[in-house]
Amino acid sequence: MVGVIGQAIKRREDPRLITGQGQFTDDIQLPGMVYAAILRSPHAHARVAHINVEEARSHPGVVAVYTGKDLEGKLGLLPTAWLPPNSDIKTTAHPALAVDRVRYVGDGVALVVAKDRYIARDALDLIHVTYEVLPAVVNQERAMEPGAPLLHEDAPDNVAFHWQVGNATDEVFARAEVVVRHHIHQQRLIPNPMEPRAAVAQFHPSNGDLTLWCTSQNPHIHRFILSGLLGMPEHKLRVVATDVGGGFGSKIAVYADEALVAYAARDLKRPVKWSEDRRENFLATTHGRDHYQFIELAGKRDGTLEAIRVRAVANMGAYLSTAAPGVPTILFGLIVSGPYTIPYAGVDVYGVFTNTTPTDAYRGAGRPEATYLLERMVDLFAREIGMDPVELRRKNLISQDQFPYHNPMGLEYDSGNYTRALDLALDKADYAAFRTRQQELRAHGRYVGIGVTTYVEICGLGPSQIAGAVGFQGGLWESAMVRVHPTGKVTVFTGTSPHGQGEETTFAQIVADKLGIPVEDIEVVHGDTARIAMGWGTYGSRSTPVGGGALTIATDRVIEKAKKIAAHILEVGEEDVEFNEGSFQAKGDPKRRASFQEVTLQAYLAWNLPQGVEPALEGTAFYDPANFVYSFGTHVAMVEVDADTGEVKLDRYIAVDDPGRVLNPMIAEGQVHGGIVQGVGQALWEGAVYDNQGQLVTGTFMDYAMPKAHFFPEIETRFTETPSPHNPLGVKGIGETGTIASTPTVVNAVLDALQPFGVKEIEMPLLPERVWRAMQNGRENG
Amino acid sequence: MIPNAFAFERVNTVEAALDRLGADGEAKLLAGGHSLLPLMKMRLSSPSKLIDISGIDALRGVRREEGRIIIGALTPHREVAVHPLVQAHLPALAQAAAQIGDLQVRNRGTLGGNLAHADPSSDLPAVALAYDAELTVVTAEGSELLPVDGFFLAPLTTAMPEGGILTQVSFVIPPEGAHSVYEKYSHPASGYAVVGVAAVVALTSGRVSHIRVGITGAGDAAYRATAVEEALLDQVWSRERVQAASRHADENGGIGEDLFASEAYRRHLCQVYTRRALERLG
Amino acid sequence: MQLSGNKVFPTSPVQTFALLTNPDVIIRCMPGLKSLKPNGNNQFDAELEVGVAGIKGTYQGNLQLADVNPGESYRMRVTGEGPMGFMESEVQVRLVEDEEGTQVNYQGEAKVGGTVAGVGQRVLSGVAKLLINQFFNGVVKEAKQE
Repeated sequence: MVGVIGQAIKRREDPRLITGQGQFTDDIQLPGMVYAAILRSPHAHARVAHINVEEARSHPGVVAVYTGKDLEGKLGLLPTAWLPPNSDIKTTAHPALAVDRVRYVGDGVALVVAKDRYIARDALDLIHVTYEVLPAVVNQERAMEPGAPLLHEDAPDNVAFHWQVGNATDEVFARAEVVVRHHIHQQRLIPNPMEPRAAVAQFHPSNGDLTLWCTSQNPHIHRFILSGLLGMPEHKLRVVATDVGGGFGSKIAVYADEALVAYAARDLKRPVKWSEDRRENFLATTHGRDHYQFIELAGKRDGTLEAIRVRAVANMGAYLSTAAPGVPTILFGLIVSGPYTIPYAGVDVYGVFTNTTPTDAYRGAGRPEATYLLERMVDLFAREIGMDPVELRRKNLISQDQFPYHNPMGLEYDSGNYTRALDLALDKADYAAFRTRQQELRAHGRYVGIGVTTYVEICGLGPSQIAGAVGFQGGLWESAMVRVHPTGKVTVFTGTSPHGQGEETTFAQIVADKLGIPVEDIEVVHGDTARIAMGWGTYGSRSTPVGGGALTIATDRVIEKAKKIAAHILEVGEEDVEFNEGSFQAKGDPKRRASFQEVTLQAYLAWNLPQGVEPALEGTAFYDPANFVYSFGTHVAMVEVDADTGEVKLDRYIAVDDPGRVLNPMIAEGQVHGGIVQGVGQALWEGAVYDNQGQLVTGTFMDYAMPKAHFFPEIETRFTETPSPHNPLGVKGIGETGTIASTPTVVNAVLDALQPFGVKEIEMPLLPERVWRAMQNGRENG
Repeated sequence: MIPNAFAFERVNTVEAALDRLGADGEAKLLAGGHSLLPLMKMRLSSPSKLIDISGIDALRGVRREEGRIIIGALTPHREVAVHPLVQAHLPALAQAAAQIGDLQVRNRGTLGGNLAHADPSSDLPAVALAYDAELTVVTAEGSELLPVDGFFLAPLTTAMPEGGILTQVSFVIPPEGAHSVYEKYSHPASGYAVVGVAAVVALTSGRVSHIRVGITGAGDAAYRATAVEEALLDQVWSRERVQAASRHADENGGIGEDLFASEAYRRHLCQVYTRRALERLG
Repeated sequence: MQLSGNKVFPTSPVQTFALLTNPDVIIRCMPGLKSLKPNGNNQFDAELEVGVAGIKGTYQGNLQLADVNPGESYRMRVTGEGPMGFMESEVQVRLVEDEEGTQVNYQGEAKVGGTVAGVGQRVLSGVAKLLINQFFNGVVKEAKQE
């Protein structure tokens, strides 16, 4: 259906998901299936002196028990797949089950397989492990100090890598009129997808094939890595991600658990299922963020920003997870100058091992860390020089005529109209009126504040050449195949692996729009290595820019071939055929026409095809984008702080985002809503806390505060559309903008409200007590 | 989240429940299950047997008896929250019950289960204290009436005799003209009370003739803020007096701390929320 | 988790000390302590069932008295490990004579790991206070009987 792009059609995946018909990994039932459970270390750091599995092994219903020693030499070590260049990275050994040492609470120690999941769980309590507890370190700055407990002998000082980039020299800072310096801690977050991780593996003795269903954002990457771990040829391994209930980055990594399930299924020649419970998800699924940052922002008294420099220490946890090293380096460091014309920027990052759950990508991955520090610094700079923070932003925003814009780290920003988004947001917010009301309310002892963030986001991860240059151990192109069936119905195969983003709908819209057929005639298949040639998955807001780009080209190839056949049928030259609204017609003779379905049928019947044209109708594309894409926008938050208790109430939230082109406004809006909620979660409520012996004390939803719907006002969203020249659809990403922009917006709003108290910093999350104490200090210090 | 194995039996009478409890010292009663089952799934609690009393209809319902409202222990929170007798005579209880968990929890969780479990952050203990509740506990030896004052001893610990069953809770209807309110500061994660204040106040000719302040969440157990009550009883009601009296709100409880709120902040919240509750009543 | 407090005993420091360090008294008064087997040098193998109401965990562990200065001070270390995780507490106990008998002051730290640490932190300190009070109240009761 031509024109379906841009329409807010309902998500086609929702009827099955909201009526309980979704097929998640844990829903898979296979004959003869057995169930796995994993014994996890209760200690953050300990030597495993002895493991006695006899009682568990002889427990009725237990099929097998494996320890790390049992797997040595049989199951490979977990690799790290992002190795930032020139960072002296230490990819230390990471066995699927600990052999002689555990390094975080949750580290796997033994695997039990039993005839049902209840027996498997019971048997965990029958394994007796003698631990010799070692001193633990959870804070990355402590971990770098001399004498700190050492996690890996091959990583002295616990430093996993040290990465530097940029052109901001001491000299630039020395000659600056104003330099604002500040420390920020980006707290640790737990991604908490609605569906915890799960895996089911089935070995087929007849041909030696193995099928692994698992909660993956990138099944082809899982296959690629697991084939190595299992010592199994890639073509004998099939990885399937069925319905996946969210990931937020935490289902990118290849985990020990999935490898163990696959190993056990092959070893036992029986299907094995493992499902993580929520407590395991807290402990054993990757966490996000956890940076200490020291930032310097230099500029002139007139508000011209000149240089930014960051020293960051990132907590990598006990091991380097699959994509982890790329997060606090490439995805963070290259974008610290943000949407501003700051000519000099420098980043110096240490990635450090600690006795905590490994960290990896979490919605936004690196870019929220960069945007947060920059936007906080811009507000502080504005305060320092006595300028309105919005005016300071406006003065430094890259202007429309500067695109393509090269930032100091060498990135080429594709397109943008940053001030348009800013103006639209301020207009909606009625910024000037808010400032007046703020003064009035202060006189009555009420503290309201406004935060404004202007951001740019690097997303649409591709192209592969850059992936290679930045150490990503894979490509970042994408595949698409459009298979037109004889009746004109279409199956689309995409190498992206949506798990909540709605591509079953938006990708069908792309194809429907091009082919002029109804969306209902199109099925989108994803997440199965046996059905899709290759793909790199869904993360980094890449599905639509890269996967959608591939799909556009593949669809064009279908049209190109169909046109040849149509010309033959209509007995005109190919150049005289037009394809309009699902119908091929001869130029100037609208009566000579053939529908898309008629042409398709002829392609398959092949009774009368033009010379040199093969039967059937399919289009395949392996598309590598020209460059990254850069979504941008302006977010505004208005808050009120309870002067008695420090509680923060979010009064209004306005988001103006530019994702290049909006394919489905309802889905785009949903992505923005979800992103904002997660970002505000970081600002106000969420935070993973370890005690000093390495116990995760926010271990359940009783203590780890996920945002609730009633914490929010209605989020006001608007889109501007500035197409990207970097891909055929002109699209940019929209899945992470909310998370990237909302955290500093809300924190800046709270700090704005607290200006009368002279408060410059409150550590996230801005828990009421922290806000209250900041106000108390302000009151005491006059 | 899989509990240890346990036996399960459903009973239809209090006598049968007592009998099963007496026979197995490691058995636990199951009412709504919303406090017990999560603990079992974590394996923090591993009863040998669950005695399901949820079908004992005699323990469900709300009725008025002279100056009291009597509520069966198995009455679910939602029924408590919307019951006309509760709304008319015990508005703070209706408000508190309406804020427990979410709708699903309120439909399953019960008044008696909540009070007997004695979670230190639970809402209802504060309200029970403010309405001078009496709890009827039945044991093999017979029935006894426990005053709410002194019932909540420590986290998850009450004055209930071993093997006893809480069958009903009786709340005193406050004097004519009294107002009552429940003010809560919810934990953003759990929704439990960081501090919850239930207050009942009656004025006679401008003077405080009746006052009760129950506080939950702040300490190891819910407590009555008698220092606040004493500061206001028989006094002429004024904004200044309420403010001054509220500063005593943290004096009667063993104020605790956790990750979310330090002891000092909790003491402060006790005072602020007590003041806010009282200010709504004057 | 910090543990600290004071308790007044009606007995003299020497008598109080004898009570507090007497394995028979400890086993009677320490909530949940099921068995205590001497293991030489003031060390005991202990089996503990620690908790409140229905929330109890069984721990196999060790109780140790160290730096023993009869009538004056000692350190008590209790460790345990079980399916719910592990616990470790070390308390310095000091006894000072006063007009009522003896002031017993304790200061120390308890560490818990595993499930209890991750899910129970909201009530941990309250429960610890309760158990310590139960212990001292029990010993005071015995002291009064002397």
